Parts: sequence; C-alpha cells; structure tokens
Amino acid sequence: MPELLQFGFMQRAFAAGVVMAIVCPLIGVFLVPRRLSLIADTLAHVALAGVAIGLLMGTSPILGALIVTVVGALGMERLRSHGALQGDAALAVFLSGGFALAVVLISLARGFNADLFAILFGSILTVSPADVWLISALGAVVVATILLSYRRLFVITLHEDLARTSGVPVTALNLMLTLLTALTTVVAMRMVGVLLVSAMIVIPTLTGFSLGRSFRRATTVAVVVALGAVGIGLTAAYYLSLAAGGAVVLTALLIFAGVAVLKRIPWGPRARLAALLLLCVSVSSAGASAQEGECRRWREAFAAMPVRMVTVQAGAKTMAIRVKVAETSEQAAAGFQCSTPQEIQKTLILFDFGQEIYSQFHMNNVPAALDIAFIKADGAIFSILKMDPSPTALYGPLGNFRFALEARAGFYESQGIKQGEARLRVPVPR
Amino acid sequence: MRPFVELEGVGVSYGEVRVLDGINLTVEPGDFLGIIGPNGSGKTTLLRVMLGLLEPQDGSVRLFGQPPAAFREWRRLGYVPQRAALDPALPVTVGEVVATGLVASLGIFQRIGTRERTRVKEALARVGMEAHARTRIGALSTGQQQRVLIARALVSDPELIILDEPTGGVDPEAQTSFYAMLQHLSREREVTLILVSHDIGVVAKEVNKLACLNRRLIFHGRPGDFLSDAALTALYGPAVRIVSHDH
Repeated sequence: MPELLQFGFMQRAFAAGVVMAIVCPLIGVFLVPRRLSLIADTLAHVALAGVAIGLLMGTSPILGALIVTVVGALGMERLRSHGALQGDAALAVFLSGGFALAVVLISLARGFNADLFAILFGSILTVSPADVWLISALGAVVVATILLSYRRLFVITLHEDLARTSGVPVTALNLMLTLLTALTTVVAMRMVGVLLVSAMIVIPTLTGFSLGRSFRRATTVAVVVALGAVGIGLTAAYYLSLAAGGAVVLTALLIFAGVAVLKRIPWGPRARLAALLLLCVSVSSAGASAQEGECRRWREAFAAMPVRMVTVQAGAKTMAIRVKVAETSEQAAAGFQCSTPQEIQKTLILFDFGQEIYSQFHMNNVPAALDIAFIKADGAIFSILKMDPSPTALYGPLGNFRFALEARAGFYESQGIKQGEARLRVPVPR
Repeated sequence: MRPFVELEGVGVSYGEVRVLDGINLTVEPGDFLGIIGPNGSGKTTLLRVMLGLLEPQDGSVRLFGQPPAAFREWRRLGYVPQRAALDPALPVTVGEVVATGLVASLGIFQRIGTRERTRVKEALARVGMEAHARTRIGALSTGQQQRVLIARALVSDPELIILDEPTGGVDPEAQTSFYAMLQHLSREREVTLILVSHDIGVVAKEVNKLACLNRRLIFHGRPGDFLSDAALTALYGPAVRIVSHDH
C-alpha cells in the first residue's frame, strides 16, 4: 500500500474524492452545454447557508447543507418555471441570498471558524467516516438516477423541443437535474470547498467535450479526467502540504490546458492520448518523488530516535514509560511527521532541547491527534495540550520549556497525569 | 380514419401582438401539406401549436384525435427542427442523434440493443447517410445535418412528420435530392408530411395541399388552385409573382 494510504484521513479523502470525481462530470455534461453551469455555483452558495445552520444547531454540517440545498433547488426551479425571474436572474438572487444568509448566520455564532474555513475551501482532514458514508450514499443516488435517465437527459441537452415531441417529460427532468445538482454540490463541498464546487463540475466536462467524439465518450473522458485530477491533486496536496481542494482543481485545469495545447499539435488521437497520459504520469511522479524524499527523511529520523525509559510521578503514583527521544535537531523536526496512526498509538516522543526555550509545535503530516505535555527544566509538567492534525495550526504553552512529551490523544487523562501536578524524571540527563 | 391534426379557431397572441387568428386546419392521413407565408406570418407559432409545444389562447388543437396535453403516442409523430437547432460544438455523433428518436418507444430500464441499432442504421440508409454513423454532427454540412434530423424523425416509424424550414441554407442541388426523398416518403411509404417554408415556388410544386398563412389562413387547398388564385396577392401584395424554376 502506498504510504499516504496508510492514514485513515487520506483513505477517507480518496474515497470522498473518487465519489466526487464520478458524480461531478456526470452532472456537468448535462449542465454545461445548456449554459446552466451557474446552477452549481448557486447551489453551492445556498449550501453554505445550510452548513452554517448545521453548525449553529450542532448537527452535521453536511446534513444541514443537504436539506437547505434541496429546499433551495426546489424554490429556484419554482421561480424559474413560473417565469417570475428569467434565466440567470433567479440564479443570481439565490446565489447572493444564500451567501448573505450564510454570512449573517456565521456572525451570529462565533467559534466555528475552523470548520467554516474547511467548508469554504475544502478540507480532507475533516472528512469523518460518517461523512464518507453520506457522500457515498448521495453519490450512489446521483449515479443511479443519471444512468436510468441518461437517454432522456441527453435528448433534452440536444434540443428541448425534440425532447418534448418525443414524449420526454422535460419539466420534471429539469427539476430532477437541479435536485441532483444539489446532491452533487453537497458531495463535492467537503473535498474542494463551496467556492470550488462548480469548477469540478465544469472543467472535467470541458476537457471531455474537447476530447470525445461521441457524447458517451466525452462523458467517460470527463469522469476519467476528474478521477485523475483527484488522484494527482490529493497526492500532491499530501506530499507538498497544499490545500487539497485547490490542488485538485488546479490539476484539473492543468489537464484541461494540456489537452488544449495537445489538440493544436497535428497528431493522431492515439498519439495525443499517449502524450496526455505521459504528461499526467510525469507530473504526478515528479510531485511524488519531490516529497517522497522529504517523508523518507522524517521516517529515517523517526526510526533513528533512541529509546529510553523515563518516569512520571503523578500524585502518589510513579510510572515508568518507554519513550523515543528526539535528540538531534533533525529528529526534533521530524517528530511524528509521516508516521502511521498505529505508531502514534504505541509510541511517545520526548523532545529535549537541552535548556528552557520558547517554541511551538505544528501538526503538518501527522495523521492523528496528539496530546503534548510541556515540561520545565526541573521536570514540572506545567501544560498539557491536545493537538489536532492540521497543515497550518501551531501549538505552544504559555512559557518556556525544556522538554515536550508527545503521546496519543487522551493518554495523559487516561493515566491521571494533570498539568501542574505531575513531574517528569529523565534518568540520564544530558 | 380521423385526421392527424385538427385545429379549430386557433388564436395566439404574444402580449399585445396577435400572431395567429381564427386558424381552421385539418391534416388528413396521406396529405403532403405545405405551410407557406412570409417571415413573421406565424408559421413557426402554428407549428409549435400543432406539436403541442405552445398552448393557444383560443381554439382547440387535436393531435391524432387527442388534445396535445393528453397525447402519449409520440412514436407516431416525427419532428424535424430547423437545422441550426443542434450545437455544432457538442460532441455528438450522427448515430447518437438518430438514436434519440427511439426514446419514446424505450422504457427507462430498456437498453439500446441490436434491434434498435439496426433501426438506426436503416433510418440513416434511407437518407443516404449510413456511412456517417460515427461522424461528429459538427463536422457535417448543412444539408447532411438536415438529413440526420430526418433520419432521427424516421427511426420510430412515424405516421406523421412535421418539418420546419428544412431547406434553409441548403444548396440547390441538395434541395432537389431532398425533395425527391420527401416525395418517396409520401408516395411509397405513405407518411403524412407537413412542411413549413417561406419558399413558395419550390414548395407549391412538391406538395399536394397548400396552406398560406399571414396571421390568418388565406388559402387552404390544392397548390394548383393557389397559383392562379388571388390569394397570392392577398398574401404577398400585387408585386409578387411566382417564378417557377425548373431544373
């Protein structure tokens, strides 16, 4: 198994990403030719209001988004079909309305900024196992419905009057397509973020349209392009510490641009396809090897940390603990980076800086939450913090420390070790 | 047998503008009806009314004896839109376009099988386009696109085909063979045809019934009677004469 797939959060990200990559182009091929791409963007903004409601009420933001987006989609279709608002005017009203509502709701409740950031720009770290199930279920509904009504949706895309005079219930299917777009928005939101959902619907579709001769082929190519963008984008995001949503969308754009350039070269279709594949492989392998190196470096430093026994005295209890010691600056920089959740479960790392310093710890490339105890030169454990995986957050105590002891989340509480009451003894001081 | 299309006192207005007024028209099985009239005479509106795409404010419409809203046997009807109807940028093959003509006769869970593929091939052969089944629609000439749309209409074996300005933008040579094909459909296969056009000269020669439209129906009958009739003057004004160009 590739290293990055050893982490639960990356497995979940890939699962959600694959669902998104299949669903988005399937909707896109029916929206883009009819100049309805804005529907996806509109519903994404409506979904944001749903996320805010979900967070306010303490329920799942995805569930909130799902309900509000479906209601919004129904309202939008009603306005459009009754001719109260023409074409994109209805979309503009809902887009700005949804966004304004979201902004107001967000200002009402402070304190979910991190979650909100994740929803706006996408976050693979916050995809929970429950999210993966919900996303997969929604994706299955969209795929099944599209496959069953593929022929009918295709006639509508070709020519609405032809569809009507062939007995296709155009109005009902248009409503269905809008509802499916709502579901797709919710599926893609977790991965690429509200602001980039429509990119995943439009860009692979355009690539498919420029490569495929038949509609069926174009649809298949669009799905393949989206899958490639997710695979390469997520891998790049993991190794280069990039925002996953942006990386996936930029990859899709790069493929689109690459196709546009290749189409200008007078080669046969096979040669073009080969060149495209080569481009994908070289881009991804270049990205992977660049960072494969860095992760290997952290893994080597982790493996080289010496194992020592230390004791911790908590109240009347004294316990002996086996720790890995990060002695060199290389080892201190490595920490738990690129390790597996299993290793985090059974390993503690003691950082010894030789003297009291002030510093902060990041959680980039760390696959599971940690507890960290900050310890004075005399062994006093004066601060214990929980650190969640995040590419950006920094954690540090109020005050200088000589030692820091990283353990799995919940370790100190389970051992009855409390800040301000426990002491660390390191038998062989440096 | 009931008439295929019956219009009684049909009137349509767009806002203040009266586009169609008091239209009475029947299309019998076996008819080859040409609907002609100058630009803006309401031809396209009339066609949309007949197809059930537009509900008239006044009068009644019957398609195969039923009001369009209740009509379900769409397989019996073929519609050929203007050739500019298809987006040439869309990646769609000729075969895919023609297969959409079968959508009315296939259930949701039915897949396109050998039988359907054979029908698509046959329909393409009838319009002389069998070699182009896998060609992208945008790569075809105007006349070829028109043939594909007709193949699409033919694939469900309809009893009535309605064509909207089918020869617009088609070169004269292609027009001749196009009308020969329509004649074949009308005479040999007994398909009822309705043809909407602004090209009186050509249409009057080909059809066996003519309807001249300028908001109201000015003439409805055999084309021979029309060309000698004062209706032409009523339709286009006194300055217009039909110039018959025989090839």
